[in-house]
Amino acid sequence: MVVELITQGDIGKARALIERAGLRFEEEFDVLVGAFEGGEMVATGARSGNILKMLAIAPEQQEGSLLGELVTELVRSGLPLNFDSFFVFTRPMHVSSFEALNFRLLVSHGPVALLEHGNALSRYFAAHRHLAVTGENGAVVMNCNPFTRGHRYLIEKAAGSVDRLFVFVVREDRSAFPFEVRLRLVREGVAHLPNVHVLDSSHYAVSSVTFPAYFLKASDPVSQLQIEIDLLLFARHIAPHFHISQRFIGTEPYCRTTRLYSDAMKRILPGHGVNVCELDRLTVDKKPVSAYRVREAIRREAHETLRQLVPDTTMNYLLSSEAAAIREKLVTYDRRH
Amino acid sequence: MVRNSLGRLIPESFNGKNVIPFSDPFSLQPKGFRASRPLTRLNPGQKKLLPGLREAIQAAGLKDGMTISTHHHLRNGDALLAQVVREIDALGLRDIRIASSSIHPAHAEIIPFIEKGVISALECGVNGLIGELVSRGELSCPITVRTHGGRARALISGEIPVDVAFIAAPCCDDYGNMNGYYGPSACGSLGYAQVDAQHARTVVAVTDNLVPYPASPVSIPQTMIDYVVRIDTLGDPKKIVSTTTRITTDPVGLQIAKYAAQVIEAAGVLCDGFSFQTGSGGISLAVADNVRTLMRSAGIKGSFGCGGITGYFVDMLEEGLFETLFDVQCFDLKAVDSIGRNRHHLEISADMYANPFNAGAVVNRLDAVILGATEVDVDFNVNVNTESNGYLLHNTGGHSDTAAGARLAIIVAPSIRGRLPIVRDAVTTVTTPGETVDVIVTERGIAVNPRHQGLRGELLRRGLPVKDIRQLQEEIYHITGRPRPLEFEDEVVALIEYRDGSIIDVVRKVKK
Amino acid sequence: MEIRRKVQAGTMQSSDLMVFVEPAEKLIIEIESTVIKQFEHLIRAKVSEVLDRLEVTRAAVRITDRGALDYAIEARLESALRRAATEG
Repeated sequence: MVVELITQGDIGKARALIERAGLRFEEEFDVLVGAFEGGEMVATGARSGNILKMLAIAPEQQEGSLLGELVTELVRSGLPLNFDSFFVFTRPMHVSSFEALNFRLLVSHGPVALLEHGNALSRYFAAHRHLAVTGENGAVVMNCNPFTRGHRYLIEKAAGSVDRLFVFVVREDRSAFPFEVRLRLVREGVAHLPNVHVLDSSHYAVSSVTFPAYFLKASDPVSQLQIEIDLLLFARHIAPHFHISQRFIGTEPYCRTTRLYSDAMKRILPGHGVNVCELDRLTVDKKPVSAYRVREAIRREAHETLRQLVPDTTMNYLLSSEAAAIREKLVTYDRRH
Repeated sequence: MVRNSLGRLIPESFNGKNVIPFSDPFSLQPKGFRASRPLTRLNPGQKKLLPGLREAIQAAGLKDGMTISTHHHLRNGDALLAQVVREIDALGLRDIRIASSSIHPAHAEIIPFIEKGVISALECGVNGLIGELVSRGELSCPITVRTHGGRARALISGEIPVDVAFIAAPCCDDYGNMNGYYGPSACGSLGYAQVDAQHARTVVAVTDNLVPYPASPVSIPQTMIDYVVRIDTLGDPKKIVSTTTRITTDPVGLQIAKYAAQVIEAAGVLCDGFSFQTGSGGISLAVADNVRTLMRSAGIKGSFGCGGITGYFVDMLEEGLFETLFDVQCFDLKAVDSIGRNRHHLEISADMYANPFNAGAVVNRLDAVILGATEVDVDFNVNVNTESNGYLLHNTGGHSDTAAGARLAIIVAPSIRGRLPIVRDAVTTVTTPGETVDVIVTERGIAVNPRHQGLRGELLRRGLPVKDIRQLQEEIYHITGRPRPLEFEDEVVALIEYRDGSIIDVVRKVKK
Repeated sequence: MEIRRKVQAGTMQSSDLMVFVEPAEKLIIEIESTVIKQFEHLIRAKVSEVLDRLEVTRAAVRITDRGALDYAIEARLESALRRAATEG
């Protein structure tokens, strides 16, 4: 029977089993479960948000039913949190074991495979089916923290060169501006462009599932593999569904992670029929406009500078009472994104 | 497209080669001579030891478009194939074919090199993700699935000329004498690799356990080894052999095993000189356990146990229930230990084990073999290659070799697995033709191939639940409902080769 | 029967299924199964039959099935629906 592990002793046993399986024990999890046989721990696994991880089963028990039992408990534990899907990273050799539990393989890349349980990708596509129209379509993926004139400039230029432009706004809520606000400001800021569709990126682009490193502090190491998985997810699922043949990016002067991401994009996407088009960024005062500059301006209450950096729609929001809490928060916010 | 004798549509050629349609298990005759290797000369003082895999690949003269091989005795613990492929890529070589004895799920790490064009075809069956991606049309890599005996035949006949064989050698000296008995990567028998050693153009021994000359005993001799390479590790010993293989505890499996043993007894083969093979699955071992009890109580002395050998067969040898074990592959630690110790636990090559085109293989002398199945059909055809999703997920192994060779080929399987009925109108993929399958044993009844009316009568006389296969099918469908057949595109992604080289079926791309 | 809260029943074991039920404006049925290609029609028919019998007209029902037989589908779904109809 699978039980939640709470005591330090049990957690230690789980750690030993996880490490014996060649995995790294991570302190960060919401729930850790395990199964015992004759006093010995024979299986363990954890859930961190909507990610299942550290699943390890003793070698002599791997043919049995323990994986199903572990995943049942981990998914159950996530039920009150309203996740629509759970994700697992595993080695490609274990893909079929997870598929037998109704996981769906999203990407297998080198030593890692990413699978989903709960079918949210199909629901996401179904919800946007009316937008999946053939043509020369393009895409940008943006965090927009918050939406700037630079973003608008890039979108206008990109939209001018394709039939339809999809702007995927990163859903992950680890930025200063909450997702709902970022999405709204993008929608308001591009309302004048009839061939632009602003979409929620859901779990499938630059999320904590595909790309946790983007949300870490600048000094944290970035996994090349993680970037490639994110891009393969885009290339194999998102792009074909929306008939996307162009992905647009702005030149990146500042951020190492974003630059690594752009470089990987140029390496990977063309092989999957997606051209990468790099556009020069809008400059103000001879410096590229960035959301980072905008946040600096907010912090310094430099309203005149701010007005040059963001469109009216964003400016109106920033000056509103609704944004008071965010203005306050920015004083201590020190992340790049 | 042409139809073979089982009514399966197969292409006239595949990956540039003409295809021979399957007609029946026994009549196709070989032509020509055994393929051989170029003569070489090594003078006194000349050395074989090279500093690394890269140097060995260069010394062997591997070029674009050539074929390499490895063996699968290290199974999911094997790290050699991936290391070789990485080195091949680093040398800028492309369009290489792999003709290993099998590919395991752990080898999914070579997928990026298939995508990159380093590897362009698999002249061997696969287990796991590679087959799935190929079945989905997401990975382009033609696959030819071969039986263990069929692979030996293909190498020996020169149908698949292997340019460079990389043989993982768990215990090896600097002149290439090797065995699989000792060392951190000990795997026991090197039966599959023996064929490569005799027939590949260049043979490289790769070891993580270089011992002083001479390595003893000698399974593969120095005379066949061109180069020796020492690397840090051949793989993960924990995944090479199971620590133990276990008898099933599932009551359904135990019931099936009991029936199967009763069938063997009723068939009249269980007498002195009895020869027997089972796989390492829980039900197979439970059959062996029942047979062992029957042999003990009747005082029967068997001649040989064969196949992939488990600790269970080792116990039967040591107990005197068998004179000899013929071992092409060790399944667990106890078998590995035994082969290095027991004089009558004999290492045999895949050629001797199961090749249909030689002067007689061991499988021809088997009285009974216990085999599994993913599906069977009303014509007794068996599928072990494709799963319920239509993906090619499993290699054939010795399934069709032993079914053809043994006097009594018994399929053991639960009648229902995850709602899927074991008996279908037609199997998705034919691995083994019904003509070579004698009895199908489920917990819900036993179906006897109509070719064996005598056996059927004997089973009935003994009160066993014999059913017509269609009756068995209907009983199962009554519980599960009638399954819809899988849908496929026309595109052929893999051939299922019968042991004689004719094509018994194909795998097509699965419809989305 | 009115669905009042989100519940789950069943397991991810072979030959079982997991049922997720929650309130919704209309009837939404989603089925995942390891045997979807062979048995989707029968699973769907059984689910509809249970929903009809219990007069459930508004609910989101999600099933992830590992080859459960009809009686198991019926039992798991009915227990989930009955639990979902009670106040938490």
